[in-house]
Amino acid sequence: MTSSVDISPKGDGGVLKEVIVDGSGDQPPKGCKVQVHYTGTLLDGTQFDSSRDRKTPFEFDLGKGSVIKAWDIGVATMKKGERAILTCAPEYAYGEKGSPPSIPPDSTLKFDVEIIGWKGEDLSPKKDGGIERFIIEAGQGYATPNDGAYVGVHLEGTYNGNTFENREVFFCLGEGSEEKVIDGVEIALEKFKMGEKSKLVIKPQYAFGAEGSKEYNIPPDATLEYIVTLNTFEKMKESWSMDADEKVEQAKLYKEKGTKYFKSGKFGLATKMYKKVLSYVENKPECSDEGKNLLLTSNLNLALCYIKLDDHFEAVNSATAAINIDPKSEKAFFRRGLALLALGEPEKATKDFAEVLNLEPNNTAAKTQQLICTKKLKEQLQREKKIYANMFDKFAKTDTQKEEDEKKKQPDVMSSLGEWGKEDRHREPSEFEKENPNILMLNGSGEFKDM
Amino acid sequence: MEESNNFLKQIEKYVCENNVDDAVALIKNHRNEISNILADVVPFLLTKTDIRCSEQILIAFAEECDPEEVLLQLIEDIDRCTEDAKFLVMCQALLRALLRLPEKRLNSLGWGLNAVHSYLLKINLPDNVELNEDEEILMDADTVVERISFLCASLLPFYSALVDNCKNDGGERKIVVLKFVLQVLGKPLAFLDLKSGKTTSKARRISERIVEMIFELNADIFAISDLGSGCDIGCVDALALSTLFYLVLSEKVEVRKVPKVYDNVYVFQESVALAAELFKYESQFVQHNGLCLIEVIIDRIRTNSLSYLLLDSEHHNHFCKALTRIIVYSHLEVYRKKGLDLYRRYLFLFEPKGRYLIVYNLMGILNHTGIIGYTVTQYKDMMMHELDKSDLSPYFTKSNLFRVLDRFCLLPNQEESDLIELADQIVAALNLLRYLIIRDKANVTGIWDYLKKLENTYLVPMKTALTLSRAHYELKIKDLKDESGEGDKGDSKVSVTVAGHTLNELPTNEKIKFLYSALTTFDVIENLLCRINELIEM
Repeated sequence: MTSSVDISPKGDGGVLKEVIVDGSGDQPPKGCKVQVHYTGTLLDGTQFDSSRDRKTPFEFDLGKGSVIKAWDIGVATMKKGERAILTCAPEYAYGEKGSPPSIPPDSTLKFDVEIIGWKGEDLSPKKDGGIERFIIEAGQGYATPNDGAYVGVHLEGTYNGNTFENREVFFCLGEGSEEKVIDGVEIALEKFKMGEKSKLVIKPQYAFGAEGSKEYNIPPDATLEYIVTLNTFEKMKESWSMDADEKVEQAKLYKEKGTKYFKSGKFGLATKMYKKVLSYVENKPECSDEGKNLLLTSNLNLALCYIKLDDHFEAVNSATAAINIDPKSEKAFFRRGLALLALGEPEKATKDFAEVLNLEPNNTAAKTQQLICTKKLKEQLQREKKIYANMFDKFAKTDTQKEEDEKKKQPDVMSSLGEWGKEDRHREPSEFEKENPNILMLNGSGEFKDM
Repeated sequence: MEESNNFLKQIEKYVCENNVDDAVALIKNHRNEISNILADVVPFLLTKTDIRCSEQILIAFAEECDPEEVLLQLIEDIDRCTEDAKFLVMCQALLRALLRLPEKRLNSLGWGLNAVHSYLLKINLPDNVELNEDEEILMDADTVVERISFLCASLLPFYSALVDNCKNDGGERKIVVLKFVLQVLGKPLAFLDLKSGKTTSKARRISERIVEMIFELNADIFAISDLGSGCDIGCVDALALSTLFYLVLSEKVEVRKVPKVYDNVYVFQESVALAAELFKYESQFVQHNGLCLIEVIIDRIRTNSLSYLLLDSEHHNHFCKALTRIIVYSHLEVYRKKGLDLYRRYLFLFEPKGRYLIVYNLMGILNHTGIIGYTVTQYKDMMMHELDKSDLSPYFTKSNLFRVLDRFCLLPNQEESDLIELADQIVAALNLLRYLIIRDKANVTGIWDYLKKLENTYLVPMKTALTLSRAHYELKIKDLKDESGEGDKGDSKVSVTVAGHTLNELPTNEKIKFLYSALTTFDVIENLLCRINELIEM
C-alpha cells in the first residue's frame, strides 16, 4: 500500500489508487466508451463481482454518472493497459444504503481494474464512426434537445488547423441546412446536454461530402473538426426541471423562434411561438424586468402578427395586453389603432393614434393614420347621412308593411273553429281516465273545465 | 412438374401410413425438388391427426433443404396457425432451419423469431380479476393462464437451443437472439403472477429460466436498453425489459451476476421509466411488479439526496401520473396503500429544489382532490423539515413559496366553487397556511407578505362559498325530509349531484346522511378558516 495515491478531487481520501501495471499513452477522454476488466472485493476480501469471471469485459460511458463516482474519477486517470487497485470510500460508491444483496451499507470497496481500451463516442446513426465526440466540458443535467427543438449553439469549424467558421447560430434541429449547419453537427447535437462543449470529428459523409464547400474553401471528401457549445435549447414540455428563471430562458428561445418565423412571413407559426412565450412567463408583480420585457415584446409582436393575419380582434386584445404592461408603449397604441381601424372603429382608433402622437409628436406614420381616420370618419358620417336621410320615409314604409303583416297573422276564426275550442282545453278526468291515466277519452262523459 | 407431383403423392402416401423412415429417406433423395412442393406439403402435414409423424417429416425438411425456403414457408404457416399443438410442431422445424441459416442472414433469423413472437402476442390475456393476496394462487388454475404457461414452457427448449448456439459469437447475431428471448418476458407472460411466495407459479419458473438465458448472453441488464440503437432487427420490448428489471432487482433472480459498479442514482433514473411502463397496464400482476421494482430502488436512495436535474427526464412526469392513478383508482387496497407510501418516499428523495419543482408541477397534472390534498400535506411536512434547518432553501421561501401556494390555494369558480369536490385540497391547504402562520412568526418564508393577496383571492371567497354551499346543502336536506315526511319512502324526486356524480340510487336516509357529512366537512373548513383569520388578526 506504499504507492496509494488519493485521487479524489476534494482530497478527502475517498478514492485511492495504487498502480499495479503501468499503462501507456493518453487517458480516456470524457464521454468515451471504456472497456475494462475488473474484480470487486469488500475489505474483508469477499469478492462480490468480477467481469473476469463472466469472461466478458465491462463497457461503460466515462464521466456520465452511470457508474459509481469512484469509477468515473478513477478510470479517467488511467491509461491504456494500466492495471490499478481503486479503493473507494462509501460516499464514492454505494453509501449508507449499500447495494443489496452483495454490498452491505457503508462499505469501502476495492476494485482491481484494468483498462483494455476505449472508443471515441460514435454518434453517427449508422455507427460507421462518421461522427466522433470528445467532451471538453460536460453539460448539465440529463436532457438533450430532441428533433425539432430550437437550439442556440456556438460553432467553431476547423479544417487542417485553419478555422473556417466561428459563429453563434440559432436554428431548429432538422432545419440546420437553412443556417448552413452541416448534418454531422446537427446529429451530434441531439446527444448534447445543456452547456456542453465538445470536439467533434466529422467525416465527409456528414459534412460537405464529395463536393466540398466553395464558400469555406473546403476541398472534396474532407474530414472536419468542430468545437461545438450548446448554449441553450428548447426543452420538452414534460420536463419538470425548470424553475422560474429557466422558464424565462426558455421563453427567450421561443421569442427568437417567433421572430425568425415572422421575418420569413410565417405569421401563423410566429403567433404560436409568441403565445408559448406568454405561457412560460407569469405576469406577476414579482416578475423580473426581463420577464416583463419579454411579455411586452411578445404581446406587441403578437398584435402585429394578428394584423398580418387579418385577425384584428385578437390584435386589439394583444395590443391592450401590451398597454397594460407598459402604458407608454408607442407601438402598442399604434398597433391597436391599426387593428381598430381595420375593424371599422375609426373613432376609437383615432384616440389611440392621438396617444401615439402624444408620446412621440414626430411620429409621421401615426400622423398619416390620423388622416386616414379622419377621412374614414367623414366617410362614415356621409354614409350615415345617406342611411338616415330618408329615415322617416323608410320608417313609414316599414310601418305600413308591418301593419299588413300583422293583419295577415290574425287568426281566421271561421276556419279554426272546432280545433282546440275553449271546451277542449281542460276538464276533470272521468273515473275511467283516473284509473287508466294513459287513456284520454275524446268528448267523453267528463265535465269540461275552463282554464 | 410431373416428377414433383409424384414426389408429393409419395410423401402423402407415407404420411398416411405413418411411415416416417421411408418418407425421410425419400426427402433425402429428392433434396432438389423439395422447394417445389413445400407450399403444398406443409399445410397437408398439419392436417394429420398423428402429429408426431408430421413433426419428424417437417424436421427432415428443415434439415435437408434450403433453410431459407423452409423458413419462409413456416413463417407463413405459423402466421395462419391457430392451434397450439401445430404451432409447437412448426417451431421444432423452425428451430432446425434457424440453426442452419448462414450466420450473416440476420434478417431471416429475425423474421423467423418474429413469427414465433407474433403467435404469442395473439394469445388472449387472462382476465384482470383483482384477487387479494391469498386468492392469487387461484390464477394457476385459470385456463388462459395454463395455456400461456404451457406454451412458454414448451418454447423454452427452442430459445435455449438458440442461446446455446450463439452465446459464444460476438456481434449482432447474439444481440438479435437476445432481443427475442427478452420478448418472451413481455406480453403475455408478464401478465401472469411472477412473484415467488409460499408457492411458486409455473410462470415464475419459466421466467427464471428466461432470465438465466438472457444472462448467458449478457449479464449487464443496463446495457440491454441501449441495444436498440446498434442493430435494427427486432426491438427491445419495454414491458419485457421492465419485467426483467423487476425479476432481477426486486425478486433477486440472478442478481449476483449483475455488474456491481452502476451508480444507485443512475439505476433509479432508469427504473423510474420502467416502473412507469409497468403502471400503464391494468393487470394487477403487472402493476404489482412495477410497485415492487420502484420500492427496491427507492430503498437504495438516501432521502434528500437527488438533484432536481433528474427531473429533466419526462419519465418523472409519466411516473407520477401513473403512480397516482394506481393510488386513487386501484381496486386493491394493498396496492393503494403501497403506492401512497412509495409516492411519499419518492417525493422526499429529492433535494429542496427538486421537491419544490415536483410539487409545483404535480399540481398541474393531478386531478383528484384526495391525492392533491395528500400532496399538499407532504409539502407541509417538507416545510417542517426546512424550517428546522438553519439555512432555509430559497425554494421554500418568497416567490417560490408563493408560486406553490398559488396552485394550492385556488378556488376555480371563486365563491361558486363546489367545496365538497375540493374538500381534501382545501383542508390540506388551510392546514398548511395555519402551520406557516404559527410556525413562521419571524416571516423568514415571507408568508406574511403573501397573506394580503391570499385574503382577496382565497380566504374571503372561501367564506362566501361556505355560506352558499351550506345553504344549498341545508335546503337539500329540508327537501328530502319534507318528501320523506309525506310518506313517499320509495324513489325520491330530488336528485343530488356531488362532484359531478348523481346520487340517485341512494335511498333517502342515505342521502340525508351523506348531506350531513358534507355539512360536517364545511364545519371543518370553517373552523380552520376562522383559526387562520384569528391568527392573522393577532
